[in-house]
Amino acid sequence: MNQPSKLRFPLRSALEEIPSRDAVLRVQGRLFERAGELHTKRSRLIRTFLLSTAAAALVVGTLLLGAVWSPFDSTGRRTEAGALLTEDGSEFKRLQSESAPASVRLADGSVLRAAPGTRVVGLGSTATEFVVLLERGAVDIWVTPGGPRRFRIEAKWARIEVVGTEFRVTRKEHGAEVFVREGRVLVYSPTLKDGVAALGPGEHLEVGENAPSPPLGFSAPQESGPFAEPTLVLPPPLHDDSNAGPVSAFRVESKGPAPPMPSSISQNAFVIATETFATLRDQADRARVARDHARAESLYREILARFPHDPRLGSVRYALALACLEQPGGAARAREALLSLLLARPAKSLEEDTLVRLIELEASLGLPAESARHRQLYLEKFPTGRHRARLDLP
Amino acid sequence: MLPLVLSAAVATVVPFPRRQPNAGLPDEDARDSLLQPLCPPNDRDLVEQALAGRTSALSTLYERHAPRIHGRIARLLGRASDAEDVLHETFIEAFRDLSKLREPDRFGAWLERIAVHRTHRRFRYRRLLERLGFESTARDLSLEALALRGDPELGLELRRVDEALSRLPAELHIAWKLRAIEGLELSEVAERCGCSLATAKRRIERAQRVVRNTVGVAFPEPLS
Repeated sequence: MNQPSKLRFPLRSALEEIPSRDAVLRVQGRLFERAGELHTKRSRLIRTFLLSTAAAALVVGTLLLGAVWSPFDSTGRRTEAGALLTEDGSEFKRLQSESAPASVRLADGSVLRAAPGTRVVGLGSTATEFVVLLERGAVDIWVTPGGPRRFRIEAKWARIEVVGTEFRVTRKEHGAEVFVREGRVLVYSPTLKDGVAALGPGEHLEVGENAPSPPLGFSAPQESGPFAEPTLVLPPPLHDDSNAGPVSAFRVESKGPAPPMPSSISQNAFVIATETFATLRDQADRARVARDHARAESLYREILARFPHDPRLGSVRYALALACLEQPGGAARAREALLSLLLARPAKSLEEDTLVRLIELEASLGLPAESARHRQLYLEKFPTGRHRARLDLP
Repeated sequence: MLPLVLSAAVATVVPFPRRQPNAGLPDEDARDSLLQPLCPPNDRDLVEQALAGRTSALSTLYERHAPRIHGRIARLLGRASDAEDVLHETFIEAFRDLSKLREPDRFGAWLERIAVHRTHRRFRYRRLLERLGFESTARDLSLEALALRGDPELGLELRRVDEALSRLPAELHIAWKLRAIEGLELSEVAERCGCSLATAKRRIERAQRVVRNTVGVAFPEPLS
């Protein structure tokens, strides 16, 4: 079975010596940069002192914070840290109106005004969030812009989030309707295609189990004239604070056609979007391992489109480039992905790998000028880079 | 007469070195190194000096062992950049845990054991990256690349051996290379791999069987 072999024990005698000198010197430089700190009592003392100081500062800071912030409000009741209270200093619990409108003004100037037959229940208030549940009826909300809290209104089939704007939420039998007067509002609902829709001034949206179709909450496209001004149905603004501006109340049902539907909402809105960055990334990576590179590429592109501000996009772009490279005719797309990754200023190690891939790819694509330019860039940025030998750099 | 005159002249021009406090010596370490005996200290002395806080002892230990360790790691890993990283990690761990070393005169063997452990970890990490496509399988220090020039048949055999080894688990791969390439005794392989002698033999035998069956080449000598 075995052919005559030239292998002789030990094999090392048949191998050339590895030139270790440069590598050993480089590692020595890195290793002994801070060698003076190794095993010296002084460094240990300094480290101990710094750690003790940091711990003491933490304790003092915590005590000071405790002294400044009291967990009790003016009436002696316990409140959440930085909770948003009503104008009279009490906790917002409920806003209910039967035959006449009712309103409440919060300490930061925001106003909630309930139409007749409405009940709004406070769910929670912290330094960063103010949450209410619209149990029935309709509520107009004017949120003071620039505040630190996100306002969240829970209604059937919908969650509305906002930082500073004016809008109305109406609870319906099978859902809820949102109408925006100023600013932008995010509406979350499992009945929306992507799970979320952004509404601008003048736009409204109805979400729910049996929301009107087509499309949800919107009437015909804007062909028969401009969006008509909604009819005022509630009494004049309850607050006369001219700085805050009047809180106008508007009917949700307008006389004319509604504005066109935002592009993010499709005609078939009853699709629940549950994929997160991690799940999509996992699917894409699994597709790559299974060598289904076309699917992997489409999943990576979906991640890029859906999470454009995620800090992990660098590795996604890199993986996208590799998935493109694996497909026939995908080299140009791979180059595009690598170039966009470079523009996004990735971490050093990723940037180095990206440059190496780009140099090799451009050389294979017959782009010697671009390849040379990136080779020069690599030399400038990574003069002692790991891939110098691979690139035949001096 | 002439020798006397010459020696007097030399003594005038080249003054006899005298120990003076801080006379042109940069620091304590440098002064100590000048005052050390000409006979090189053994590893035990160096370890004790290092534990006493003398940085120059660490440096001497590094210079004494690093080239050998680097060569060994590079042959195991087959890639220069990885070998450099592992060398760095090995010495960081060794210097950090120096106080745990029970037999200071066996510093070299202890260091190799750390290096082999780190190499094993690097193998596993590399396999993971390769599986995800983030790592190239190219090796700039493959056995074929290291084969002595002018013997293409040996180079071909070594390439087939490398390919067979690359499919093996890291512990088999490392044990075989330590035995077959580095020429370590079986007991040394067991010690470096941190396993029993029987386990070391078994690993080498398994790897050898794969090399023999898959590639069709083998050492004439028994390895285990």
